[in-house]
Amino acid sequence: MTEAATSTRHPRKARRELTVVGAALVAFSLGLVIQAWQIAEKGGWSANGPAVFPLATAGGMVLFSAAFLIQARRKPDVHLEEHIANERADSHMGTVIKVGAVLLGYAAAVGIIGYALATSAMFAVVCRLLGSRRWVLNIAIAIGLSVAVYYAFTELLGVRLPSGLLGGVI
Amino acid sequence: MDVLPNILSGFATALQPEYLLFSAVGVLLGTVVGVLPGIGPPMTIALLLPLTYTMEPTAALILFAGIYFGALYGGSITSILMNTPGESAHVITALEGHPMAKAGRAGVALTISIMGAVVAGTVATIGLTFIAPLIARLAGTFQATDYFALMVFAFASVTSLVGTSLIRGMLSLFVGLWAGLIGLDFISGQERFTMGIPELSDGISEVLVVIGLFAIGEALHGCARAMKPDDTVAVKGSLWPNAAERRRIWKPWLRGSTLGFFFGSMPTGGSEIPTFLSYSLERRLSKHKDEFGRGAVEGMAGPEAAASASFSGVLVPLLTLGIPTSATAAILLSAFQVYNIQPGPRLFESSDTIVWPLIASLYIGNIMLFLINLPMIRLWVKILRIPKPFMLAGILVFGTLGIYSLSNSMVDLLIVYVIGLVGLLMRRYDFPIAPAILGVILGPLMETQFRRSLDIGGGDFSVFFTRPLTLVVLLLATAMILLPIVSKRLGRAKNALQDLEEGAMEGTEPSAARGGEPIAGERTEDGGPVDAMPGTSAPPQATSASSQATSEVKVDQR
Repeated sequence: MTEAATSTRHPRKARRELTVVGAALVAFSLGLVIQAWQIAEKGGWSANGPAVFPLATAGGMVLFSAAFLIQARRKPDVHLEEHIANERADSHMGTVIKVGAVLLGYAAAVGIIGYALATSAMFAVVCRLLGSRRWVLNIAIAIGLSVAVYYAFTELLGVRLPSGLLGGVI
Repeated sequence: MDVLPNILSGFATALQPEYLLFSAVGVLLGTVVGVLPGIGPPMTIALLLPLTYTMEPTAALILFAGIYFGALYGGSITSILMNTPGESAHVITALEGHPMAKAGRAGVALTISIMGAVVAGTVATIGLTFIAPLIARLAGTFQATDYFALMVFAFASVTSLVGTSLIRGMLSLFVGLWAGLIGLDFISGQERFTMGIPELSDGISEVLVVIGLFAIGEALHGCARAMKPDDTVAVKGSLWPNAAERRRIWKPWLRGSTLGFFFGSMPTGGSEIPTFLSYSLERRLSKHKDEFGRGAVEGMAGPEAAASASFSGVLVPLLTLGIPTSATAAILLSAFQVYNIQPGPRLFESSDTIVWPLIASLYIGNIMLFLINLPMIRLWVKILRIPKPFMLAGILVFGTLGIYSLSNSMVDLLIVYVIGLVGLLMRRYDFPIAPAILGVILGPLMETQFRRSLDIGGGDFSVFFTRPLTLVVLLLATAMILLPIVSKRLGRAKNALQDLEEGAMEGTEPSAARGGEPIAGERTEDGGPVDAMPGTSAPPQATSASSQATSEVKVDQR
């Protein structure tokens, strides 16, 4: 199936997705207005006070979020809908969620188990998730890369990275 | 200010063996990372930032100058051999260079590209050497209101002129401005947009935003896309252009260099406009119009030179006014700030021991680019064969390292991953990245100038309308926003540029989405081309030249 065919078959889905994005942007922008208002109430409304830029930013967000939402509903951007249809056809968001989970685990673990170990595990698992099925190769490259980076940064550049569980070894 | 003694003292520093080594290492690293498919100059610099954290400022900036040029050339290699332009500066390179490569002239295309980069880079650096001190002296008379107006102008041009949609460009800009406001107010000390999270009191570092939006966002977007095999053309035969080709390329190089430097040094968003203008100009002047879209050497030489020259051109507003006008320049500004160097008119007085060696190193970086890369062209081609899973996992590793090595903070890692998710969504919904980067980096500076202006004017907004220079620049900024809306011709030109860019990056049909309505660069029924820009004509046959594009991974630096 060609990309053009994909886009003509699913314009409604793309439009629905854009509407959801527009609504989320409007909600987010209104949240910013509330926060900017609170800043103004606390810090004053003077022209050179702390609230002018937050208010202007929140106002701009509301204005253009609303324009985005209206455009998505009333005057669809054919280019954008086609772009989204292509994204929908080519993307596997499940992979992103799995990679995201690995990154969260990495953020939690790197300080405890150490840079080289955590980075090796992250690299090898992400490669596997992205379709590289040769575990031995994945692990070998992961260890080589992370140990090289660890030594280059800690020994050559003097940047501090946690050694963790391998404290006595590397 | 005497330019010659200063630049000579700059060379005396930059030619020291230690700094020459940094320049060579920068060019090598920039090319190695820049050649990876889809990794453009901004991401290359963002990924390589951590290398310089412990260096002294002069060494770090000389390394960056090398990385800057290396990354640009790395992007050309990928565009020519794989038809995957990492960013908009390379769209034309892909349009003309890839057909040349497919016709067995890959080596020649790569050599024209590298020699054009050296010629244009040198021409533009000469321009920078002599013009920057003059503008710095002029900028010494600028007041806070003028700076505020110039920053508004930079925002307006980046969001309006080179973006795909004004609404999405503005949303991207305002998200960036919001992120730049998070933290304590620098005057009153009041918390703003911190949502009660103590870690946000210090604000979100620009480095987090840059690495999050570019590196992590790009890697996550790559993870989401189907892993298709790439179409890489092998480099065979001679690397040198023949006599006929040599005669055809030197004039486009010089014209492209002039256009690139001129537009690069204006606050008009970097290299996109000069590359497209150069392409239109070369097509108009060429005696070989029929070759355009099928591998015309002047069609590649001119825009490549324009891209390279605009890279040095953007350093003019960056160094003299402290105003970045492209995503790459914004990242360079954040790199300057890591060393507490504030570009602006006083840079040439207060940090002349840094700025002149930096300018001298731009000349040296150009020569290094030629000396190092020409013999290594065949080696760079091998880097293109790194499997995508390793490349994407590698970007995640180095993006993460860039943040973790700064602070060893888990919270910073979580923030950068969240920003990366935002970057992924921006790519999915086609929001330009550059306005957000400019917003977060330039926003706080703009607020400082805004409040300083009001302090001087006693809190009266008329201070922005009584000084002629401020008023003129603000009116120009307004015109920049309104012109594409009001002018149908300019609006069509923007759509045409967008089509060409998308066509080259994604291999889509340019005018199919508009029901076959002819757009710039395509033939009308009577056979004449529709103008892309007033007075120029756009590249033809974007579709045929780009139909092989395989861009699972791409960087949006508009």
